[in-house]
Amino acid sequence: MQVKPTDLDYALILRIARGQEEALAELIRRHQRRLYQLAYRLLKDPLEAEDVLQEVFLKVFEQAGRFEPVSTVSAWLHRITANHCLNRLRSRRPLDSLDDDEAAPLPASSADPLAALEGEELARRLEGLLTALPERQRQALMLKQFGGLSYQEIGELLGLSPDAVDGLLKRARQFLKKSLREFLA
Amino acid sequence: MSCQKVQERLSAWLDGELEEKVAQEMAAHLAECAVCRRELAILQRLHDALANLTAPSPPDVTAKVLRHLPRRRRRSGWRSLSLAASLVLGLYLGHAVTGTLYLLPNRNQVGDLAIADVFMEYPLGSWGELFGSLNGEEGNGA
Repeated sequence: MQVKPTDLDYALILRIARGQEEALAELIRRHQRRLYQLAYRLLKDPLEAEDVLQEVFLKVFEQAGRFEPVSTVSAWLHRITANHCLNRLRSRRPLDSLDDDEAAPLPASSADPLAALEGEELARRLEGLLTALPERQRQALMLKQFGGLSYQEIGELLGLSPDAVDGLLKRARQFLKKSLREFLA
Repeated sequence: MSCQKVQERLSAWLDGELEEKVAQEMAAHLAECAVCRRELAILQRLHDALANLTAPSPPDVTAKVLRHLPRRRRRSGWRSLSLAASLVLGLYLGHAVTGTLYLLPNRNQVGDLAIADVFMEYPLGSWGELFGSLNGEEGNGA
């Protein structure tokens, strides 16, 4: 999706490219919530997610002049955020192999089936299942769900083909669907 | 398209990643197959449940980001100030130089010329007539 000339974000980027700090403050206000959500979901650490958020906006200030309106500003911001998060994850530990398809044993469900119907319980259970997903599957799912990235973009970030991304997402959803079937059906 | 193939592609269907032709075949199948529609509904609910997951409230990073902006950008204010100072200095020097090149009347002469210019329209003796006419107007209005 291309940037429209009337796009407020694009207008802000043009002002940031001229060094206007107020424009950067407005861009932060508009996007920090969603970007933080993506960073937090990928890193699973609120402090690191905050650090990434700062790095991303400092980078935006530096690179605003190089933004090419072939995609939306929002997509650009999500890609930068995802890239920063993945770099941090790479420095933490080596990624799981693609063959590591088996999810970890499910965390024990503490709720009875009736209570589990509550949205809060479903969310708690889902959080537990996400940590049990193989790392690649989890990353692909978070990039899709919270970053809104295409298979092509996710593949570029993870060094995979779009078909491989499709496979990761399919397996992740299959695992979650199977584990939560009684809540989702 | 078989149910198995449709259900294998539901994930990509949900993400809008299927080619147009395949997507049309999927739509045709889903319109007629309740089993596959149910699978799609489950996947959609999973998607919604993920979207509804909460994260800690994001801290407002605006102040921290602005504080850490590269110094060369932040110095732009000082740069403007030094430019303005240079401009003022240039004007002052320019005035000093032209003041010696083009001899102007001294300050008192300039003042006299200005006063003469103001009173040119009101020759001596005209002030009494002017005040007289104003008083007359006030009297008529009362």
